[in-house]
Amino acid sequence: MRSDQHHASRRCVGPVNAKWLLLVLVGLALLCQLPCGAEFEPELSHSYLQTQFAWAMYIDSCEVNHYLNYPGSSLHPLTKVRIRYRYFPHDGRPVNWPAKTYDEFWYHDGKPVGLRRNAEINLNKNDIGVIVIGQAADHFNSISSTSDALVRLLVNLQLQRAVVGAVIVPPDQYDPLLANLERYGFSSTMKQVSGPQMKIHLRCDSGSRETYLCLH
Amino acid sequence: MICLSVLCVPEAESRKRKGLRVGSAQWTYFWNLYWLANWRRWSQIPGFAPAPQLQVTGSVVVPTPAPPAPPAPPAPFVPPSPASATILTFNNTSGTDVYLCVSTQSGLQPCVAGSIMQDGCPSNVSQLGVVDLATNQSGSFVQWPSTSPQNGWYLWKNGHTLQVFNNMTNPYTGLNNGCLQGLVFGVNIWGANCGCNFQTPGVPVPPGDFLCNGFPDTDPTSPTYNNDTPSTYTLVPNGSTAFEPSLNLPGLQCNLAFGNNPHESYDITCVNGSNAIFSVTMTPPAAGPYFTYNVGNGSQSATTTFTTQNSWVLVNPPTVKASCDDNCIDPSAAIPGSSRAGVFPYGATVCTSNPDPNPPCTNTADPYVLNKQFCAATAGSGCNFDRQPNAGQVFGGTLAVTYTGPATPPASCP
Repeated sequence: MRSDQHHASRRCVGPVNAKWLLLVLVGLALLCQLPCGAEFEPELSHSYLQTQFAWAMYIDSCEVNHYLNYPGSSLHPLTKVRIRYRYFPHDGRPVNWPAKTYDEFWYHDGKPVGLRRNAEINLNKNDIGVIVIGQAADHFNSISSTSDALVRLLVNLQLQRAVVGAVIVPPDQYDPLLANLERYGFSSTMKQVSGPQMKIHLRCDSGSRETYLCLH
Repeated sequence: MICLSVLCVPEAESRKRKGLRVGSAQWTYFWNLYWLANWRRWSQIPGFAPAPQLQVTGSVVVPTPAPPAPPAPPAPFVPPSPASATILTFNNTSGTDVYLCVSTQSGLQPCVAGSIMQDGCPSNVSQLGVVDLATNQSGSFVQWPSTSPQNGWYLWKNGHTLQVFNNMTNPYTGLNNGCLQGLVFGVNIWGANCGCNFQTPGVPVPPGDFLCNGFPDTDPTSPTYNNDTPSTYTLVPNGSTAFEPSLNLPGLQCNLAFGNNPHESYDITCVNGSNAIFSVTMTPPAAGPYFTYNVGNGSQSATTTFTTQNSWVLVNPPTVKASCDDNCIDPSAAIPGSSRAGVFPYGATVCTSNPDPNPPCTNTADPYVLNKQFCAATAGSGCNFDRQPNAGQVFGGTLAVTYTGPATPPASCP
């Protein structure tokens, strides 16, 4: 029963049945608190994020069954990966900036097939932020889709000279995400090399595990 | 036609004379095979010139002039410190450019009553030098603010290793002794900033309060260059980490030996919080002297390369909730429960005491007055690495400090 509920909560809903599913989801959320990742929601309003970081991003994914779903479709099923962001100004500006959607990726079979950029972000150099990995679609491809979107986001942020203090991952996605990042060349083995480097501080949201990954 | 040598041309003429009808491409192929097969033998004939290097430009084959010799690399910059001095380097593996901040001793000049400055030791940042080992460029810290010559910053690029050295001479000897006495290094902020623990989001810190969030504008083209502006604030909700070395001390004040023990020491302090993870690797000279450090009630001598590292602090300022410090216990220690060697936990000026007899954050207006200290180290007599010099006040070896990234605590205490 729990598995089915969990699965249902990770599907993007179509316009027709959205209302009913939303009601169901609200009910399920009240009845069934997920053991991980439940503290951080897409609105990024958790006090920990607001006090510890200058900005935060949230990555979640869901299946999009109503897109390109026709006989012979070579792009079905699709996984949508959404990246939301929020600023937490600490320089006197108002802090009530709402969370907004930054990027939306569409993946098929773990490969990116589409991107919609909804906004431009302008982060102050050296501002330390955090990326929260949220709910993922159940099927295996969602992890590789999330990993790919995460790496693309990290490169984007690196070019903006923003500092990612940590990537917070729910326990059930920790090992799959770690394995996927290693496929991109990230390694937990520190090497003494010179020249620009890229680093990911992966942390389980319960604080029980953390891994530093380097891209040399 | 692209040929392997200019010998193709007479071959074609010869074939034409004999009236052969073999295709041009085939002839070229056979001829080149023959030429290649005999090249080694022909090249041994005295006076037979080797074929020049060829370059194809459209259909014209022209010889390429020999490339000019690459410019000789500049000679490595050699700091003026003596060869026997302990070397201090900083490696940035965080993935981003940051600013290395330094504070020298608090303006105490040598040979002044009460001064602890030893001869030839920098007492302001202009007396320190920096060389970027990745680019071989030397420079100096930017003094900030202009009225405080004891504080400076330097752009520390991603993946680069800096060497910081003494850039002055001992007035009594006229020589550089390599002394780096009582320096305090931080990332993106100067140390001793407990006040930042109480920073409320949305409430700006007064400009000029460099002990809190302020950091100077580092854009040299900006009209506010090297001034503290609200847009350059650095958020340090859990205070800041500092690395504190005191190296190559000469053991002399006003050219006189004094009673104070002229040893070397270093530590990572989270007394004022933690915003950066430092990993410090010490490599001693083969013949010593060796640093010692405390573990439990005992003392260990580090005769080989030894690495220590600090961790995060969660001060949790918004409400008085559970707060914690990950700097009291080394999770990788051979003896479970051992503290991190050479690391001062949060709020612990006496690193093994809890409560601390002299807590550093004593602001009575602090609404989070309970958040002063969370634990203490179990490090016997202290949390420093120390060593005595060999004969002749000689130290040596290398201290390699690596900034691995920001110290970000978990959302809640484990």
